[in-house]
Amino acid sequence: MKPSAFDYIRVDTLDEALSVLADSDLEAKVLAGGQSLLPMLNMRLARPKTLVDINRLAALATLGRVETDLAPTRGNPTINRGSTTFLEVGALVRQRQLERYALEEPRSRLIHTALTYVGHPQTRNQGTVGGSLAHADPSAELPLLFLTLGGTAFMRSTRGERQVAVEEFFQSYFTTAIEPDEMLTKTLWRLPAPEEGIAFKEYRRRHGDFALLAAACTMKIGRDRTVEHLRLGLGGVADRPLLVDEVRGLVGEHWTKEGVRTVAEAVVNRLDFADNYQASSSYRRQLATVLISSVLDAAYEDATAKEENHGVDQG
Amino acid sequence: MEWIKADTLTPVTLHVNGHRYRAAIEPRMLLSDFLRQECGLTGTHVGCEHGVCGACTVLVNGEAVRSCLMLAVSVTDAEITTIEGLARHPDFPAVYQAFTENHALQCGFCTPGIVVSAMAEVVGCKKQEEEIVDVLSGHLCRCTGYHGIMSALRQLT
Repeated sequence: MKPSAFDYIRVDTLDEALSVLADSDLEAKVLAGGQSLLPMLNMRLARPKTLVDINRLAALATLGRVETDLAPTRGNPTINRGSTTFLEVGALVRQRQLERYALEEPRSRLIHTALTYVGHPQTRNQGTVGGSLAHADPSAELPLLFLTLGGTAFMRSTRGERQVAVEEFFQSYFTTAIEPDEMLTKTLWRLPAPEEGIAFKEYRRRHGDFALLAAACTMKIGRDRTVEHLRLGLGGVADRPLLVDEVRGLVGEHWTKEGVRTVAEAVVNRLDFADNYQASSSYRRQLATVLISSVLDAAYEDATAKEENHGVDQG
Repeated sequence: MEWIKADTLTPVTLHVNGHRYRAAIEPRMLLSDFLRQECGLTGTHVGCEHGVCGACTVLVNGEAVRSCLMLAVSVTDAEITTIEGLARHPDFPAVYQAFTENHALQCGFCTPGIVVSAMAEVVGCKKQEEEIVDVLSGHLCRCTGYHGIMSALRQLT
């Protein structure tokens, strides 16, 4: 339970970090909060030749709202095109820092809710947002939330800066679009509009454990109570968090129990639920059916309440 | 940029409980091992060594963190406080008393970590019940004393 030997390079500037990453002989791995990397080092599941410690790059710890016309959700028609407000999260922002920020910011409520499921306060104090996204555990909450909200990841290397839409960022188990010589520097997260319904549900054996299944949803409904747009993300079911295409069947329709059940069953039938160390395949399918229905209903209920308040405000 | 080679012993200085501790270490040495082996501060316990049990919790710049998930070489610029440092804190007697009165420990292995978290996150912080549960969820107690610990923590908010 001790790490194997590695060279340790602590950098004081982003350019130094990028030059270390550009040298392929060093086989460098980035150390940010270390709350995923250190367990892997301690258990020797990872044996990097070099660690590049970026913890002193204060410029990567910026956090705040930005308005931008950036099209973050290429190829996904279910997103609300009208919303251009994003939360800019520097890669080195601690999860606890984002949690405290999101508590005070009404449009970040979904982010706050999901963060309370991430590890424990003691790991969130040190763990970074960028680290969790770059680690890309398929059952982790932050990748699921980033995908469900929509947004863009920014990577830097000595070759320049590159943006990748979140839909193309997560690729497989612990695998993202980040190239070996690149570093994730910041992410832009779409903030739901004030009238959008939101919901987050997760099931796990103990608080702070990785999710057996997690689901997040954002939804906008119209005055006539039909669904205008809807995004549903699932974590813990595949090699990466997934956006569920089947919800398109609910767009333009009135909300019905049958509609929700049809979507939940279609998703569960399409996905492959193998037995794993936590639960059997049939248990996971049953859980997914229940959790999908319940997160959709919760988001609709939230959207309805907000639409009613919105109408009152305008009246 | 500072480059420390893998198998060399390099002198580093850490600031722990208001003192400076200097030792020659490898870059792979965990903060928990530095505290126990180089500083002789064995109140920081090592349980699971992968961030689950919480026995090694210390304060780094005032925030409760897992010392088994940090490298000693990475925190040379930080102020570290262990249970030994907190035992001299003016709030400590009240914590000691609350743990005693509520039977909040049995074997005591998990206790230093819980006390560190409690003093950072609970004592005098006016926490809601679910926030206290969230803090305590970061600690495993195998004598299953959670009810007693929760009673002690409630008394301290």
